[in-house]
Amino acid sequence: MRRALTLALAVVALVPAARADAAWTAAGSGSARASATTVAPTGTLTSSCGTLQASVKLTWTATSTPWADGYEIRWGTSSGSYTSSATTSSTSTSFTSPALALGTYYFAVRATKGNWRSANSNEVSRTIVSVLGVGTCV
Amino acid sequence: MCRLKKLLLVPLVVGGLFATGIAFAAWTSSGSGTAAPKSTTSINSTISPGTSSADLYPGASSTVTVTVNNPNPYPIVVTSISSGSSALVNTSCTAGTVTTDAVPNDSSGLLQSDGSTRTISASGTGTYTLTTHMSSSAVDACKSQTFSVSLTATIASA
Repeated sequence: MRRALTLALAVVALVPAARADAAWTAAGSGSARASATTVAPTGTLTSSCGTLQASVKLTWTATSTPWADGYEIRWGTSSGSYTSSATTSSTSTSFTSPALALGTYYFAVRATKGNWRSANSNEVSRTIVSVLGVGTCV
Repeated sequence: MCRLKKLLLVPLVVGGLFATGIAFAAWTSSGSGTAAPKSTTSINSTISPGTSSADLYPGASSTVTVTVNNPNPYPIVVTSISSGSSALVNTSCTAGTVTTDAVPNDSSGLLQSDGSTRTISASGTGTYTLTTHMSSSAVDACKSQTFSVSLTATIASA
């Protein structure tokens, strides 16, 4: 009889515990929002003639974006339309072009991070003319 | 013998009353009309975007917050939050560019952003901080974009 009594008490104690546990679960759904930043452009771009007669030297002020990984220098023979490019590391703030054919060239620089590109810097131009049959930057 | 039978019946009756009381409490708290206190009878919570600064860039990690509401008239805890992944944005910034880490299950309740609170009071809200990442191969179209990351959470009564 005493055993039956103990069993009854144990069952009674277990029932509410199991029900309470089952009672209180639910779900939630919705969303989080994350935002991306951008790459700041370089400071002012300036140009001079390179030591190689038909080359152009470009110098710019570094981007303010600390995580930029480099710069892309772009140039072409029409303003705003760049058909050639080169890259430098993020620690470089100057670049000398290869020897260029006769003509006027327009240059711009932008900072990079992976596939990201900043807006272009200001555009500068230089002309390569023939001096005694030799291409010369002016 | 008759006395012993009575002795046996008393705890059974008391126990039955306890069980009924629990069932009634669950019924009341869930706001539903069924007797069985199941999760489906609770009112589900909503996860709302909280603060996020525009600080993600290729390969970067950051944090965002979400707010979980408790529409139930009893306190709850959030026991886990799923991982999440962004959808396509700005035409070519591909799905999955931004992800949030899952917060693993903690039956005692996840810590809220204040670092000490676990319980969301009845009809209250709780704020949680999640770690988020941007893929290092994020394309240029992802710049300056805002990403919505779908999440689910599991919730239990406090």
